[in-house]
Amino acid sequence: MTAKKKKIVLAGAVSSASSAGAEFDHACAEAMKALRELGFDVALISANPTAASTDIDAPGPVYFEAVSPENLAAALEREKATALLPVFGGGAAVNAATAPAALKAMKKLGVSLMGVSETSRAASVDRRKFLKLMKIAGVEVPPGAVVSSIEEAEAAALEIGFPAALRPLMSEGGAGNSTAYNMEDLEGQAASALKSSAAGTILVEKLLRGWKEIEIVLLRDANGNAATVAMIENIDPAGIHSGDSASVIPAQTLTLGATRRLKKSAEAVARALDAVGVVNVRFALEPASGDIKLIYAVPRYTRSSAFAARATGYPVARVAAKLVCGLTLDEITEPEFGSGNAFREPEPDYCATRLPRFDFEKFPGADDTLDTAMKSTGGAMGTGRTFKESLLKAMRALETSRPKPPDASTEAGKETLRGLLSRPNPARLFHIFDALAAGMRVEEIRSLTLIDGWFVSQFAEIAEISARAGKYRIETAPASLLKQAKLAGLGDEDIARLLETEETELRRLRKKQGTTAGAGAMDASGAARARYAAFESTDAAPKGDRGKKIIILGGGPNRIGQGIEFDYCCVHAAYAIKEAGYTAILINSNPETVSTDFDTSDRLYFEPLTFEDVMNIIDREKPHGVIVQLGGQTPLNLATKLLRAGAPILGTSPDNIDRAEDRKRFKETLDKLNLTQPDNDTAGTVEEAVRKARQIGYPLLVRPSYVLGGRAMRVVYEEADLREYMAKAVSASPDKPVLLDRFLDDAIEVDVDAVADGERCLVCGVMEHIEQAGVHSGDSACCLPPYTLNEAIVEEIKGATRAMARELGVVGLMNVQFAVKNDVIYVLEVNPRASRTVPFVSKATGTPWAKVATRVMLGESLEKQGVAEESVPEHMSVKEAVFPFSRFPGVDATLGPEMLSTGEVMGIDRDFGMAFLKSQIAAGQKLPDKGAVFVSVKNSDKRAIVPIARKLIDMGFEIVATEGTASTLRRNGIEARSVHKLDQGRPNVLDVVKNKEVVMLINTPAGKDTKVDEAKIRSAAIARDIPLVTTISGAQATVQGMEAFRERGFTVAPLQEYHKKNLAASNARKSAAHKAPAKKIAAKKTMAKKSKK
Amino acid sequence: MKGRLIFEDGTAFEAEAFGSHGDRAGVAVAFAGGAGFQEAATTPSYLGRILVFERPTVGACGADEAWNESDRVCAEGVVCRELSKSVSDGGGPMAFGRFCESRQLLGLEGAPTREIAAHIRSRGEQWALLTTEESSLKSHLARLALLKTQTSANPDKYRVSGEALLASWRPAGGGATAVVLDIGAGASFYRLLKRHNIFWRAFGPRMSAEEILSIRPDAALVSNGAYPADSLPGTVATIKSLLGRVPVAGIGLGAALVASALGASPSEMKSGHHGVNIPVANVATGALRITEQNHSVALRAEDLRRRGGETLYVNTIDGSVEGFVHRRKMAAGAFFEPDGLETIQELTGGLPL
Repeated sequence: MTAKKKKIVLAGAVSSASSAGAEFDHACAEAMKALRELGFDVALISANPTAASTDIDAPGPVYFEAVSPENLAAALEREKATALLPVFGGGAAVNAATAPAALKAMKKLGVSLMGVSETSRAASVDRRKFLKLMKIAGVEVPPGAVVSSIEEAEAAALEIGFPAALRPLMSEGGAGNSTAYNMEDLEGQAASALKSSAAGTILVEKLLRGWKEIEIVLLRDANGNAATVAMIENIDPAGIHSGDSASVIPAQTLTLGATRRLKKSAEAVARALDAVGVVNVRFALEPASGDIKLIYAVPRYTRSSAFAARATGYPVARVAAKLVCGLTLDEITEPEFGSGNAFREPEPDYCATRLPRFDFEKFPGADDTLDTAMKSTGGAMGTGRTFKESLLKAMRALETSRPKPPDASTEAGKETLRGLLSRPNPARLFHIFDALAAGMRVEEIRSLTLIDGWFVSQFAEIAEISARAGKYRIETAPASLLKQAKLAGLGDEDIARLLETEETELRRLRKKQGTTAGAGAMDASGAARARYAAFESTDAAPKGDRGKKIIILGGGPNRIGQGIEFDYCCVHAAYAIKEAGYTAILINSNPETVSTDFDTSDRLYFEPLTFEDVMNIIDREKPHGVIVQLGGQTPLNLATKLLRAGAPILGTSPDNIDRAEDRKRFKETLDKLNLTQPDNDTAGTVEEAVRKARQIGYPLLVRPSYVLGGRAMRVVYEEADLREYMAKAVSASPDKPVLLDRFLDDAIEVDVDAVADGERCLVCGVMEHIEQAGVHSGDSACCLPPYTLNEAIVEEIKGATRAMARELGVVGLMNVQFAVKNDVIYVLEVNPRASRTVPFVSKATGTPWAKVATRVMLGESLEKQGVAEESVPEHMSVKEAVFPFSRFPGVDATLGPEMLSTGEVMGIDRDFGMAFLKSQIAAGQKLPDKGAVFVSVKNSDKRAIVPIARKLIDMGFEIVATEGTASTLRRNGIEARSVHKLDQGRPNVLDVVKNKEVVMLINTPAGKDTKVDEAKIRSAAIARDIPLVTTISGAQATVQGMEAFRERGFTVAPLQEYHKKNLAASNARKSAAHKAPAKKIAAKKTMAKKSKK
Repeated sequence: MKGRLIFEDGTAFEAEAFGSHGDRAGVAVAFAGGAGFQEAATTPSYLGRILVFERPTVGACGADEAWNESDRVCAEGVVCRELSKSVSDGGGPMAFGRFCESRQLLGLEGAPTREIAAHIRSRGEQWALLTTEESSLKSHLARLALLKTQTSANPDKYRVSGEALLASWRPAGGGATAVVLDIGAGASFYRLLKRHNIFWRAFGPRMSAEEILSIRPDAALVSNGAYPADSLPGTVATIKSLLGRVPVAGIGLGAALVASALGASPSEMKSGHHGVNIPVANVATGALRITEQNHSVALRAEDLRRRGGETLYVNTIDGSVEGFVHRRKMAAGAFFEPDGLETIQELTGGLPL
């Protein structure tokens, strides 16, 4: 090895509007581990509090800051680092690290850039250089041109012909990517693509319609040795972003010749780019001619790298990190390789299919056509012996309900179906089954979807088995057919439906017939702890487990409302179980997680989180306990069914979970405790809802029961709204009633996380929301500790929390949401499970609460653990949500009770204003320092806006307002220029926004009538990256942050420094019992560097 | 139709038969690779073997006569988890199952191949019977013993070459001439010679050294093959008398024969290197490469060193010798293909090829 002792700063994921980031969490976690192993000091910069890599007990300092060139420079200086490593934090991290400002600072500090070769950096911005390199590599690229204006883009498109793929150079997660089918498309798309490019240039390229896409994930060392970790074959044809494509490992349909050529070409590309580490090379292959063309080459960790790593068991990130340090492939050993080294090409004897998870239903009005810009929020991996089995398991693992098929008995219905097949959309694979059921031939489906006929045939084979099973009833179904159906991957639930029986009945029968699941090891890379269940005789049950076996159910695919924050909890549970001397077994289907890392658990099952698949593992492993409360709503929803099937559920009993989730029973509990709830009721029909709404009074918060992330949650202001909502909601979940709550206007919402052991309850953290009540807690910014609530109220909230924990017999974690209005505390909701704020609270308070909760579930009381009540931190931590609006042009960007955010960032500092500002910057808001601010607020906010506007004026901003708001301001002596509303003539608000005459918008949504106008304004602002604040409290916080920044600039400090005393305490805890809260320590800040923003 | 794979040790697996019927006997080997099933089944070095494909689904890309490595099916049988019914876009003109039928290649599908491969790895490669006949285990084993004896009594059964698949060809001027001791070369071996503009004359294993030298070749090449390693003492003797008089290079089994001629004692591996992902390292330069291999020969570096040989490539997983050279005697061997030939040039610092 050639590297000297270094201090390496890793640039983590930039929180962007895409939900990319989960894969970078595990990449950074593994890279840090690997670098530490080599003896380097490491530090990480990432503002993502949900990540496991940004934990307080990370192998090095963690900076909760935006990954910007300025902050990178500040962290490098503060850490006295010798190198910066950005290739595990995604494209944006690489862009930040290679931005001129960063490079300049690095030169000054004598810091080297790791993992990015000079050649690949030059090639990423200079197309001519890139083409020259590819020519040397002997690799062809599709016809195309790099342009830097709309006119040039038009000329290029004319030259190469439509459809044309537009790709901004140096962008993240396919942001700004699009496909133009005509000149009109092109104009708009070229403009937005130009905007997304950090380099200000876009690539206009011929779209290779109907070609296959193959991605090769390879590792290359400094000596030029390369090994292919996986060949990923896309089921979808070329033209869809790799993150949004259904894909499979290993490639299924290639000839030996094509396989050899693709591998050789990929190696040649990596060599030409002089890439060291992990390289993802994507080719298009024309089936008829066998021609291959390079689509792209990315020399850094990506979502595909994560899929390759998880599918093959090859620790891609860890090995890549060591390669970057100069080790060669044969010098690297990892436990996954058994006795050998990293130089190997996994040849799986199983199949892993990854399907993307989409949440389009959260964004009404968004076009769900898939193209070259990524729109998925995550993905699920299904593993089986054959493609069919892995496909069906991946479909189950997505945890989405199957879309309703169009009525194919009519010609119009068939036409609709054809449209759904020819237009790439999230449900397309499901519709292939619909088409087959409607009698459509494989060949027709192939020509509509452009999906390889072999894949379509696999669907047809599944459909054929289903059709055969459908001819029987449970009493008559032959055992051989059931076995065949199970071998093909059909779920018990599917088969039961075909046989018109219950899932449990079917399960009982097939078990009696001896059709039970075995398990195979995912050992393509050597030794592996990951396994998958399969219905054929496979490996013997593992031996030599330590102590009791505990199963943890993970959170499944990342989606809005359930992301890696729950994975963080599962990871900590696994650590705690192992520390307690037990065997930790994890079940998860999400390849983009730390929980699926090799050494997180003792054994990992890549399985869907459904009743059947989980029970298959429970039957096989016979665990001492099963933990359901850490993976979010998915495992919690299984609790009762698992318990009934005899699974030993640890922690809060499923009956008590039901007591908290069932409205009626919860009301009884609160009455007993003398706690207040907003007036509420439930209704099963429209008329019942209308009647009850009149009793409660408007506005009303309405939602279906048993939901996470506020699915289908709305605030309704009048009866007509309610009727409309009920018509939709009741069809959404027919067997569950709709909940009606009095909506508390202008209340302050408070989130509390607590842990209890059945006797004692400790409050982990109290978070005050910055947005007013009515904004989903996952979407609203919050501050820990509370920044406006008085101590008495906070104490009362804590008291109420403890009382509820005791009453509900909570063992483990609990989350309570309160609203405070006129000093009255209302209980909005109790969730007896880990909440999405657990990682944030753990990082803000410096205590690993998920671990504490796990030990409680294992039977160790809080007292025995010596954990203290939350000592209120002296610093302020602000959590802010990150939204994917820019991915969905034209969608209304208003926050409400339905959760829409796809990620989180955290700002931490000594005072609220600065912590808030940091969180805003990390969330991608570029707060202005001069210019005009547009203000338009609803009547109830008019009084509150006055001091805010005054502060803005004091800071030198100009105010532009709609007439109503402007006159209020003028009456209070604030100068404001008024601008027309949309219906008042031109130029109007929209013109002002579109012309970028304003630098920030404060726009609080008024009633229903102005809704459409406001939606247009907000969309226009988002499309132009103009900061937008939609609540009055948000506006207050923003202004406070801007003031703080003006006063004292910007400093960075690692999380561990804020928690010196907690860390000391946790170390001391091992020897001594409880330690009194340490004395105040001044947060040491050695440098004050101004951020340019 | 049901079919069974019955190992010499009495372990039996039942599945669905396809392609043909009756019974076949051969050494069962586990093949790791995601493509190249037809190539493996037709390559002479798999002659007499029963191929157990570790990749669950076999034949997704169909079959194409152009992919054959020889003019016949060489494997005795194939065993897979799933036989693909359909063919991918851009695949061959017929389904793999149809190909098997047309060539009377007996196969099993729906077999627990992961378990079978594990059995081969733990017990070592052994003879097995692939059969569609209904009979007792005892009589199956007796039949297996009989077939095994018959085959062993007729080693010339292994003399199949892929050379016939190549159209007649004359090298462009200036190319080297090689004599090929063809003990079972696949067509791609000769395609490679063609690509290097090497003119060849191919002979069977019984060719004498004097006859070979009379051609005045630039080199003698010993191909891969399917013979049991110890069944060609005559060929080893021939190679021995060629040593030092003309450069000699062997590939696969051919490399084992060259090693024997040098005085080393290659042995049979418990389970060999069969697949497309075998990692090797050049011990001199540190260069690593993933290779395709098909052999069961274990050669120890120490043994080779004592005979004056130099190990240049080792397997990075089990440490066995994968490439060697004996500079004084102008001999070299590599256990991987199809780039073995290039490797030989590299090993010898350029045989006059």
